[in-house]
Amino acid sequence: MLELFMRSLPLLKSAMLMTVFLGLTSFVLGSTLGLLVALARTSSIRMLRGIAFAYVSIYRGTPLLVQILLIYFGLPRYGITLDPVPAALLALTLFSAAYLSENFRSGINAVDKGQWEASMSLGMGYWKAMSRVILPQGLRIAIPPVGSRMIALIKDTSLASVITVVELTRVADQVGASTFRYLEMFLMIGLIYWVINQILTVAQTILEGRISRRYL
Amino acid sequence: MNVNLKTIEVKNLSKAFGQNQVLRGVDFSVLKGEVVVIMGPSGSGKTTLLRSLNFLEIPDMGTVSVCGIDVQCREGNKFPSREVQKKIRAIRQRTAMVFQSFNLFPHRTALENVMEGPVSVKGVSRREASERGTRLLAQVGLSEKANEYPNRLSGGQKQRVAIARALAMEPDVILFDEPTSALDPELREDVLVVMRNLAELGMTMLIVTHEARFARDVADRIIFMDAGVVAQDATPSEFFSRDGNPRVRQFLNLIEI
Repeated sequence: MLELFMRSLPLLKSAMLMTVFLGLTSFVLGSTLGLLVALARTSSIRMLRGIAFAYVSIYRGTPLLVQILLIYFGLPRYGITLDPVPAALLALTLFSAAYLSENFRSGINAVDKGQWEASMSLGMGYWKAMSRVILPQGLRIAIPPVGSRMIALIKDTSLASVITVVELTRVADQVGASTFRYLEMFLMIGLIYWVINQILTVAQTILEGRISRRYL
Repeated sequence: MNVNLKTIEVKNLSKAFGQNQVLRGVDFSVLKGEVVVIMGPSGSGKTTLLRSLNFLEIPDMGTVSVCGIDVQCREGNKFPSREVQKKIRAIRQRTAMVFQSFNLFPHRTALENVMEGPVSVKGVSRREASERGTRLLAQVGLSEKANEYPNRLSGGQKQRVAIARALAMEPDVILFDEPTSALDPELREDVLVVMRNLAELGMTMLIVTHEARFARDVADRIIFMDAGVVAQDATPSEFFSRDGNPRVRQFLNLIEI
């Protein structure tokens, strides 16, 4: 197994970078979009709430694989042709934003109503109160579920292999096909996914501790 | 300056929560520099009245006038127009509120809590806000707690930070919503002392409270609310007199020893 590992190391290295790149980039973009969706979902404007609700309903209610296939194979019908990597990135971003928006929403809703009232009574407007009082508390509450989402997203990148993105799962599949050593290859990349996610878990724990230590 | 300037004037104020008519046409006013205490049994509408004054509750009907800014309330006006919202913001910036449950910002230190309003709403520089905040914390006797987060403070200390936060906005009037109700008896006195000092400094205050002794000693007037209306508006000596309003007597018998 070791010689197989050494032999495929160059491929695995670039594949691992692709996996991490896809996962973290779509996490950052998805968090940004997800936060906007969460704000729309908690807004007092009914139309915004409706749009956000529909968004979450669609992207959370359909399989990620179907979304990837639609974007990569479906959009060209309308003249929108995306390369595999941008297509995967777009699908992962839109998909994760739906889940992340729910995590953010639960954080925002968990902040005590008295915090809004205190902000309002000081004369703050919605954005001031949201950015200076509500979000700093709500986002901290949301860290554990958002961390879980990030880890799930790293694993979800494996679906990009179906549209020929050369990430870990695709490399394992290719090397397995040419050497007939599927078992070793898939065990190997399983371990790599696990290591990546352990590192992210530790990072999340440190972040959580650092923020909570101050005031909890 | 006009000595009889009305800081707060409320006319015919009504508010219902669903079927429950909490305020049924309330009229009263608070003059500049006055300390007015609102008392009354649970459910009489005291807190709703206080919260209506800076529109944490939107009244259904009536007029609220604070610091010369008039807001007319109409039924079905749950979402005020832009113009009215502007007025509400202006009123909120000239009033301050002290809550029963303190509502300090837990992610900010005591000093940062006091600085928050001036910095983020009034655009005061951090340096100036910090100097003023330090002074205000000293005024409420909490200089040594400036850099503590609220979770490290006792209830009484939290409420005093909340009062300092209110003072930092240099309000024309402070609204107190049962400021000592959530506190252990031995911690109440610290807060009440701070409030007495404010009264002596001439701060205009409107206070919902059950602290009868405090009301007797400090209030210029006591408003007694019952079933959503002002049942009595009297000086403390009238309010506590043996032959006063029978409904008031009944109430006082319940809360006094």
